[in-house]
Amino acid sequence: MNVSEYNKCVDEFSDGLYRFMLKSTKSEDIAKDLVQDSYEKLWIKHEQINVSKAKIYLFTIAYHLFIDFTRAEKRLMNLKSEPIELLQKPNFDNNLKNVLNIALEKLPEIQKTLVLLRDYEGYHYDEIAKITNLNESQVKVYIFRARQSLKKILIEMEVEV
Amino acid sequence: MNKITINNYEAFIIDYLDGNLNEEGQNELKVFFKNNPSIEHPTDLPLITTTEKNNFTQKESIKVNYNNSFAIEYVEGNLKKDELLRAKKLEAENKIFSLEVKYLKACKIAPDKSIVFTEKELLKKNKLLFLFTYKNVLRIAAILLITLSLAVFWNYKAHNQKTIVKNTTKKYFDMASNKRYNNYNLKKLKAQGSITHKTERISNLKNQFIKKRNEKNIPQNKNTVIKIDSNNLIKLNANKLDNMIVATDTIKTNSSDKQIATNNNELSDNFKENIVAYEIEKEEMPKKDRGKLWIFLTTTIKKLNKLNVTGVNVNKNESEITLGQFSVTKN
Repeated sequence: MNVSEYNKCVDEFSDGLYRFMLKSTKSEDIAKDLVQDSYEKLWIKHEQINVSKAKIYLFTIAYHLFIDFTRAEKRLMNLKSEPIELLQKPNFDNNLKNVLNIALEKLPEIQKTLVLLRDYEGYHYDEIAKITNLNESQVKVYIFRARQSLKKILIEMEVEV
Repeated sequence: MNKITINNYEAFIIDYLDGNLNEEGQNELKVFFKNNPSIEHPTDLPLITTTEKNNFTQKESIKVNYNNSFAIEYVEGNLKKDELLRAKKLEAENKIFSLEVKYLKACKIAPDKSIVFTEKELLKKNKLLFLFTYKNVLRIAAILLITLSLAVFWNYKAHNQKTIVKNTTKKYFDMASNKRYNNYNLKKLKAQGSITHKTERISNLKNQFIKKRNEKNIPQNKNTVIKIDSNNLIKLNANKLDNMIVATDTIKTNSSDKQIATNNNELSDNFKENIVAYEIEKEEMPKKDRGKLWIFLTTTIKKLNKLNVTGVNVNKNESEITLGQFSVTKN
């Protein structure tokens, strides 16, 4: 991948990556940092990476950075006992979008990540498996469970669909 | 239509009593009361009263005859063609399945496209700046080194190359004497006055011959055999000789009134056609001259062979040329 192809990757994938990180971290600043770190890592390896695989490589880096971040954050929270900044305070009306946001936050972290990769970026199971270092069956099962949980929450909260 | 819940079912009963509740609503109300037996309701309503006559007729539409994951697989787009058809049919006919699909579709999280990463320019790299990366500089250095090495090598080779003196010796053929000279000797002889007539470069002769042969479209390897018969003493097989253009000239014998001559049909390119002829005026050629004639003849043929002359022609009206006791016959 040359310089212009790398710059094209910035134009094409940074928005999606940022949204994914923002949804995962719930913090604009952290999301921006993670996006920048991901692109820095991509740049370091840009000569060895084929442009066709750049997107999946980028999301893989971002996902692992996010995992590192959450681990560090958990350690920090254990010490400080302070919650991380939430981008959106949950709004408990029955608006589908709000309920979905709340429901998403109730999901285990891995399920949430897989649903975001699937819904935000439209990745296939095999691609998600590569990014998250899981196997395809595990990805399928996690997404299945996530969908069931989300559906259950929507029904429980009597959201009009 | 709103879903019937514990908070709004009364409104549906009122609609029913007013005759404003359609069949679908009535069925849903029935299902609702069935599922919530604790709710108080007017039992005398025919809608609620379950009798043999008023059996629920749309059982199939609310049966769950599919497995738990079917709806999720459908929404995820993982179904095969036949399963997909079944799911679509179920979605259209089965209210429970349809509702489940509706909820699952609502679970899909659409990205908010208004959220964009605003610091793209910070991530981008300058093309010119990264033209001189470590690897690129190494590449350029390697190319320069190779170019320099090659230049030094060629220079060295040129300096050490031995001067090859081109052999510029030119060879000439003197038709009068049937001799060959190199250009140095010829120059010398001409300066001495020994050779006054025109000589021709052998390479030119060859070229002229080839040109002539090509113009006449004379085929090669015609295999004409020239027999030189002198009382069966000598036979020359000139297989290589074909239709020929003989380059020869008049020569004199020692005998003053007898001479060997060609038919001097001048050709523009100094070639004379074929024939070695001897005018003897019916007199027997002296032995001495005969010997010379023979030597001349064989030498001529040898030279012709060397010149790649591939044959000997005679005049059309001559099939035999007499050379004293010798004769050249064209087969």
